[in-house]
Amino acid sequence: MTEPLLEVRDLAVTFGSGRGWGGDRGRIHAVRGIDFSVRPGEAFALVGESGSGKSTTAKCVAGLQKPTRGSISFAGSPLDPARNREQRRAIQMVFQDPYSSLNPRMTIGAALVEILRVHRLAGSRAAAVKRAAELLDLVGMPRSALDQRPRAFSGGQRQRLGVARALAVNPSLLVADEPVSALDVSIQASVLLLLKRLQRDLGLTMLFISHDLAVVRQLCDRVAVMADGRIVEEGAVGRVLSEPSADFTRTLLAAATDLPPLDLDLDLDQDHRSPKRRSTR
Amino acid sequence: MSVSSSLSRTRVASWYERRSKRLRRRSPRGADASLAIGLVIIGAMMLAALFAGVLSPADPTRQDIPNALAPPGTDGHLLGTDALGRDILSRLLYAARTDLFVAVGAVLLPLVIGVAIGTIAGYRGGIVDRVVTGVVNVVFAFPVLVLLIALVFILGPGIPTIIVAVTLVSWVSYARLARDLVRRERSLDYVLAARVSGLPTWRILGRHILRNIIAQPVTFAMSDAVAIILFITALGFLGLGVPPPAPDWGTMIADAQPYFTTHWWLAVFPGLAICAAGLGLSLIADGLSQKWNAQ
Ligand SMILES: Nc1ncnc2c1ncn2[C@@H]1O[C@H](COP(=O)(O)OP(=O)(O)OP(=O)(O)O)[C@@H](O)[C@H]1O
Ligand SMILES: [Mg+2]
Repeated sequence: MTEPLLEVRDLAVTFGSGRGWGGDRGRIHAVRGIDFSVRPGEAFALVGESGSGKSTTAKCVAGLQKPTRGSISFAGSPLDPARNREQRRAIQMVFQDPYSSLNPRMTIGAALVEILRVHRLAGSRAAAVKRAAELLDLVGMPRSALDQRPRAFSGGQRQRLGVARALAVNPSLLVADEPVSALDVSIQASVLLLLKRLQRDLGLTMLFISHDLAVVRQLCDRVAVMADGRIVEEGAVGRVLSEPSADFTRTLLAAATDLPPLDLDLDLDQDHRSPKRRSTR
Repeated sequence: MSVSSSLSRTRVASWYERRSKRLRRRSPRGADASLAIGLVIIGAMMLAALFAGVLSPADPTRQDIPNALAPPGTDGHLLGTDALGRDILSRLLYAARTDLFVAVGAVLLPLVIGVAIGTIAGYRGGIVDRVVTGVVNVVFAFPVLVLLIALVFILGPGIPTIIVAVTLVSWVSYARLARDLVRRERSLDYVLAARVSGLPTWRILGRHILRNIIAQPVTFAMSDAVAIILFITALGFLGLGVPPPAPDWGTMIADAQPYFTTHWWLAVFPGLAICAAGLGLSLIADGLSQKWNAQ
């Protein structure tokens, strides 16, 4: 068996200090000690209903949340809370809400160039702009997006831009926290397709968070099911979805919609339409 | 009379809410108009202040008792003379220098200091935030006039004293406003994304968060400038303001008190100058916040 790329051991996150009068009652145990590992090149899904601790886990992996307990190892070495630039670069994240995950006052180009320059991934400004344009090609966005601000784009387009930002630093692990659940169903497929293709073409490893098992079936290899801060079931996607052992997984399955398998050769550029929300200026 | 000391947190917040609600209803074209008119008024006043030496028909401090209380239009005194026979137009122009300078200084310093402290407190949270919030609350509760009188004793009366005193008191309004805005902003996904991207903290604060929150403090500063000009006026009344014979609008009105009913021009012209400055600054504030809201 190959060495895991990401290894999470006994991860727990508790919110609220627990100090003061309420004692333990004031605390929220978002994650109660979970273990899982993600192998290089695979798409690992974390599913569960709202409030089960998926985003909290994702944030810990991305270095946005300090674990209360437990350890996270990456490529064999433990990550400490204050990650160095190289460790940050290796793990990138795509967020759920495309409307808040891009800085409204920065052009797409400026945002990408800033990241490339900070990480010294481009020798000159011109090289950075060129690389930014290539990133847009990669996610199926027109290069004219470089000079535009986020408000010029629809939700699906913004999510592609979010993916481009995450890929700017050549990460080896992409954490995607419900990347399509804020999008129209018609647009979801094209973003999922993009992720699937990138995973194949760039050899990305993916930690994919979802509450929808149908989406997981389309995209992922293995899945862990979370409920109330714990992992209740884990295994290959085919096995877990066809013969779930936990009652909870069965409930989730019953709620899942049926989606056709993703066709990797489909035309990617199907949601280049005018933005849904256009701000009045 | 108080500037920011009386502006409790809720007043700042509700002031901004009311303002932005009102502004949202207006047309975007109104923003450009307000901004343009405001800039013209303030620009003209700044130019007048800058070229006071050239534009003034007379020395603003030269007394000419035989020609005291001359009405507007009198030979050589377009706006008349005051009780000591000094040319009112010249005094107005030189006063613009004093008042605009004090207003700019007493607004910029607290704006910069307050926003910097508030931003760091809001982003860092924890002990830093608790200490800053504590200090802010203490300063809010402190009577500004007591502080000012103490400072006049220490530093002596004058423009620097006023600026230092106002800064010591009013940075807290900006700190509190910026702190609350940053606390809300820092949990937004674009800030988290910037952190995941590995951007240094100073860059996240300066290039990402500050750009998104600066509109409110700057807009507030414009209105605060109006309050500060009125505050200097009040100081003039109390004899704590700009020391004579340097003219300022507030002292001119205070000096005109015995003549309010008999010689209207002594108080009306400086009063108009204060109104114009206030109007210009408010228009700029309106235009700016409307433009920012539209983005
Ligand atoms: N910063 C926070 N402070 C306090 N409680 C929090 C915080 N973040 C999350 N929680 C709580 O932790 C629990 C788990 O939240 P989390 O966001 O991880 O759930 P989730 O599985 O991602 O749910 P969703 O599907 O709604 O995104 C919830 O009860 C939530 O209210
Ligand atoms: Mg979530």
